[in-house]
Amino acid sequence: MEIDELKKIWVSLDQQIGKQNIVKENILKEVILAKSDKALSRLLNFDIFGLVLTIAVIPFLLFVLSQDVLKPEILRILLWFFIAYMIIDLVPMIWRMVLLSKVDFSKDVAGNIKNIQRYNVFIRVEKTITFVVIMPILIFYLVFPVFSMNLELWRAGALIGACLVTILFAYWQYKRVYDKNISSMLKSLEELRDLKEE
Amino acid sequence: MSKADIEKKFIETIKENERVIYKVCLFYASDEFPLNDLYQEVVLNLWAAFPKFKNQSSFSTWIYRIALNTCISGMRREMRRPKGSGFSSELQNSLIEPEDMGEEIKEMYHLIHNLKTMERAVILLYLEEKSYQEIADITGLTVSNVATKLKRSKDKLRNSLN
Repeated sequence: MEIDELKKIWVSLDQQIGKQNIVKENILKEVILAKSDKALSRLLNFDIFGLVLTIAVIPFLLFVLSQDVLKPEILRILLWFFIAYMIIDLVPMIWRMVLLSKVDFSKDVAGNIKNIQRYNVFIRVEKTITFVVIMPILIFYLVFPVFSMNLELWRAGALIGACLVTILFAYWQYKRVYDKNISSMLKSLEELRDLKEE
Repeated sequence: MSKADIEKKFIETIKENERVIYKVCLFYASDEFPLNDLYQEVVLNLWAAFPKFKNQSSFSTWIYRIALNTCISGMRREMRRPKGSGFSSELQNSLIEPEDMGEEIKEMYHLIHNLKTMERAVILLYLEEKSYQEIADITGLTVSNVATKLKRSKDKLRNSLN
């Protein structure tokens, strides 16, 4: 066999595959919808990061409490509240991750939609608790010393800055990380379901 | 253009060029990188790059470039997409494996797999009757480098053939 013969074989291969439709349109559509995989891994990574951060922060907060530096007493009580909330929140955090890990795009679409919707419920509940309960307490916690103690300007500025950063981060995480990726996944999965029903 | 229109245009484009994608993937498919996984990865990368296509090169050049880059980089590192995920089984049924083709094609497939990744790209484009300049445009090599690699690949193939 010579190189020219390879060319002939190549032409015959071309003709052979030219006679049939290689990939059906619906399969192509499914492949491009599989980009949901990326949204899923983004959510999973963000949740893992949140879990690790929470586990790391709890001992630090316990250490702060043990130092007996928090005056007045309301700050100590609020810190206990935060620690308790963080510990309790570990359970839904882990459960959420379990739900995400159950999502498998090569399997049943309806099951995946159900898991993502359940995950979404967890996120919505957490979002409500965060903005209605946790955020106001945290803001109070950070701003309280500004008014109650005679702080230097830079300290007061730093505390107010920390408040703003916390609010912006919370907003960003729900809007840009959770809402965006969850809706992208749900949209793709619903399109997939429609495609399968066609 | 709405997202649905873009998606429709993309699928039409892929259908028009499916032979090109298939042949590139066939060139690089192996037990480690199955044909359907490569095909999925190429389609996904084309989809990601599709909105950025600016008509600076012809569509076929663009498709060759992305398909080859995907296959070559896929061989250099572990594919991001875990094996067996996505729609492998449906794709698997659609794509004809070289093993299921004629003896001659099977033989050619095994010969080509003795070449290095870049040599394979050059030979593939040579078989597609691309000019040296077109091969250079697609692979990012210089024209003289293309000529050298092509000669070396042909020699290797000739030695294997004999």
